[in-house]
Amino acid sequence: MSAAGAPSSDLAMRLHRDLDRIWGTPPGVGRLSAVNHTIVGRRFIIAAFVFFTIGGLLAMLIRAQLATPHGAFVGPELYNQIFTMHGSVMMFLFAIPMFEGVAIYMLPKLLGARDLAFPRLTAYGFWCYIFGGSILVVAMLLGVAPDGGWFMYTPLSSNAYSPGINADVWLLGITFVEISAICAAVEITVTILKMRAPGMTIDRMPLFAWYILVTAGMMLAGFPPLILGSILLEAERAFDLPFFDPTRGGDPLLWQHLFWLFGHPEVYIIFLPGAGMVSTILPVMARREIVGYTWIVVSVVAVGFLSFGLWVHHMFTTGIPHLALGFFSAASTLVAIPTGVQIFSWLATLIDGRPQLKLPMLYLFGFFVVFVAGGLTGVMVAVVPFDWQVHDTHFVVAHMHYVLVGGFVFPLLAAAYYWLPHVSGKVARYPLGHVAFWLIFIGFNVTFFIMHLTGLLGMPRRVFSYEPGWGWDLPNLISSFGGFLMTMGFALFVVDVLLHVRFGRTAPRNPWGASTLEWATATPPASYNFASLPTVSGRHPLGDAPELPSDLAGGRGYLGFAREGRQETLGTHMTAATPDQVIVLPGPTYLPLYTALATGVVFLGLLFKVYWLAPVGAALMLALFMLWTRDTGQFQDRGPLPIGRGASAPAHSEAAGPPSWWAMVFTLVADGVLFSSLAFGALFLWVSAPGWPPPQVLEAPWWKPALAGAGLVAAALAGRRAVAVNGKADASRSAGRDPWLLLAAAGHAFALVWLVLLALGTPGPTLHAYGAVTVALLSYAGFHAALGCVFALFGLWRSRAGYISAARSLDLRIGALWHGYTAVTGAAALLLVATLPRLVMP
Amino acid sequence: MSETARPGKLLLLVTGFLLWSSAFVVLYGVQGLGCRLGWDDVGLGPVSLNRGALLAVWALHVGLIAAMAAIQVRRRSADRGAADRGTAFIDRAGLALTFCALVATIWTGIPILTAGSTCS
Ligand code: HEM
Ligand SMILES: [Cu+2]
Repeated sequence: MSAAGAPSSDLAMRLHRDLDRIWGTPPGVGRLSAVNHTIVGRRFIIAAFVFFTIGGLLAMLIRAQLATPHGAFVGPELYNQIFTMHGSVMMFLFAIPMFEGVAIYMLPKLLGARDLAFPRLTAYGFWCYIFGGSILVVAMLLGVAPDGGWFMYTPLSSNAYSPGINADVWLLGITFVEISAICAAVEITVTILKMRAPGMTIDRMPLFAWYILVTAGMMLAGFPPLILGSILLEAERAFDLPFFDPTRGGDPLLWQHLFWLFGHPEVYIIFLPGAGMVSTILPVMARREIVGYTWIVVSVVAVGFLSFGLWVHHMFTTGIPHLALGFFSAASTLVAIPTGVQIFSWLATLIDGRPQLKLPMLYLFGFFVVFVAGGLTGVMVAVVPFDWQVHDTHFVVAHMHYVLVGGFVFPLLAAAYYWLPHVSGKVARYPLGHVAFWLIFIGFNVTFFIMHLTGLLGMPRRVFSYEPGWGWDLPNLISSFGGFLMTMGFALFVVDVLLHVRFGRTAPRNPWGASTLEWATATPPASYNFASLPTVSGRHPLGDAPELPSDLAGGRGYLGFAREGRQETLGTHMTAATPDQVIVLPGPTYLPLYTALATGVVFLGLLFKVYWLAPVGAALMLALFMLWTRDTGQFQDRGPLPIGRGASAPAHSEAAGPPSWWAMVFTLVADGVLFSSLAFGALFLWVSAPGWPPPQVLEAPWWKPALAGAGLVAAALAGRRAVAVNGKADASRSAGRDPWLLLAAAGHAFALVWLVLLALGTPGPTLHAYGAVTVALLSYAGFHAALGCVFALFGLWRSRAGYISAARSLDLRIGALWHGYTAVTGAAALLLVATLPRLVMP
Repeated sequence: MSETARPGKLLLLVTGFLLWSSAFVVLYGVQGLGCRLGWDDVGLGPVSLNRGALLAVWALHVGLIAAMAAIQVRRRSADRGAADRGTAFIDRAGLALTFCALVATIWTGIPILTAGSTCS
């Protein structure tokens, strides 16, 4: 045995050294160039936890202030900043980035891949998150934090009532952070669909991946309305375009629609990853396969959609017609069903299994109790007459925290204890985690259970002080006491984790007896995750083949070698998971950091109203993004590459559906939602806002918008033609595609000129919302045409430089997607611009 | 080897609910638009023009989703045996999701029948 084992373990050591040299991140300052998902995922998690601490400290300030009547701690101005920052930090800087971090760290390991699809994008998203979050925190330290509440209602957040920089900090800082959310959503979607291990057919995918896939899809549809709303509100504040000003044809309700179109799904975007963690950990603790895999998948997809049909329930008190409310009430009742299905399959798994009360299970128990209680009060506030009573009281604050803390924080703590041995390679020595649990659990309920009563007694939320003798004194004091108990619990959790990392015993492999692939890596994991990639033949890869880890470490799976110093991993078919390409990933680079800094220049320019800086930053960004493409692509067709186990596959640059092509598809989906929201906004203002019709409308002859549209359509057709011509070409250099690319660029430029002329001819964009939305629609089309021009010229350059052949057509195909999208949305925008004057004038 | 599904097959999982979303958005839009254009005061047989338009939108979507479900039922029995695992799963889950979307669309539209006026 040992004689035969020695040489093969030698080989394994060599393989490990080679792979680590290729995948590793340089030490020292070089760490700033990290793009590896394990490292960046860990950074996301740590940063999110830091923001959780900041948000938690703010919560303690709130509780200190409200503990007694006439709290003398802070005045109203500061209190407004504190609760606004608490809410915004918790939602945007803790919850979303935290689950992104867990997904970024875990997904490739769960799916049997070596990294995510776009490592540099991971890093870019991380820097955007850190910089955007820092803007908010620095503003708070300087005393100019946002103070309009986490949902920033207009007109409170408009210029008239928030003249300072505070609201701009929120709008720009949060939008900066949202870049990271969109990047993560695109990357996660592509990774889950295209990079699962061979044999991991779509029905064998771990449930966590299903949950995260649906969440990412929801982010692609949910964040664009918020981003659009922030852009429009910032444009109103900075350039006086009256989108939300009712005296000039705008409508504050438009903000509420855009915000809640994001805001309600957001609650599920936070809850679903939590539920995904539950569905991963609970079966392991119960020592039984999850009951009803297919039904869980069906309910998660259903929730993903239904949660978009609820947004108006945050606006029940705004005077919307009953029939419209009826639609939303109907959807609100529906969404409970799939959530119920999941809860029942968890319970069934527990009842039918042999549950062990290990530490993660204890936290799951906390999740059940708290979340179900939050669900019950949720049903109460979904009843319109009841909601009228408790609207904007502490009852709602209590409900919201039962759902958010129950649905996300408790599962997260369970996940922390479940996966800590994976991250650190250690197991805990001291049972502090149990004490922490009871402090958090009891402290939470003491804080928030009594708060229902405070709310029913009529105490409004967002007030900095109250009179004694209204019956609010005792419940508030109890809440504050509970809050400090809970804080001690979290402090103990931190101590426990530090002790664990510092003094824990070395973890055995797979300490919980789990059956998912992440436990097939070494712990802590190597930079490349797997020395060779697994083949999966069931839903329990590790349970079915306990020898898998050593097989993979010995290089006996796919890609068990280091080829030409490249970072290679496999791309597979979306449903059947058969290998269809070798994905070559980029290594460590400072480009994401530099690009995020350039992005920061844009945002700071806007924030400090140094407007010439913004285009400079944007140009810098564009130039840097161009540099990203330098080490992608190649000058020769490589043909099928051996991938081990007697199989072969083309490099991704020669494959039919490479990750970047799909990334463009999903980006355009998000972009399409943004455009639809803008079109919705234009129509909404016409239908609902006071002060219409506008004094003046655009009087352009029909052929002007038609010419602009024609330019866009010509560009799209030329883009397609370039791909077609290229496909038929032999290996020769230019192959007749270049003229078509030039034509595409010209079409865009031509359209851009007309779009600018139309925008300049629009009467009074600052006088009436009509002009403002018209300019917004034209700008949208113009922005896409300008970028279309860049894409076409980039294709031309890649073609001239020899990157493109019949097999290597990716650059052209991605461009063609953009041109097609621009033509469709551009034509729609122009149609709307051309017909609005006829619609709105009596 | 059995033929593997094209990636587009994944769309079967979401088509039903995409149609539900369309029903939702169009119903909400037509309601507001109709009120703005005064359709609530225009008669259309026993109902107002606005309610008529809403009923039409609703019926159209219910019909489309029902047709989609019927196609999936037929496809599923055709695929049975021949299909690879991923395809079989998508057929099964896709059908379930289309049925859920059908129920959801019918349920969402019920207020059209019960609401007094369409605009107050
Ligand atoms: C750690 C323990 C926490 C405590 C003691 C706490 C306490 C509070 C209190 C007292 C308020 C009401 C402020 C007011 O209306 O005057 C509040 C608001 C809020 N909290 Fe928390 N919270 C905690 C954790 C969280 C978490 C984990 C989240 C989200 C993931 C969250 C999200 C929010 C939001 C969105 C608001 C509304 C802010 C606004 O009105 O603009 N909180 N919190
Ligand atoms: Cu909601």
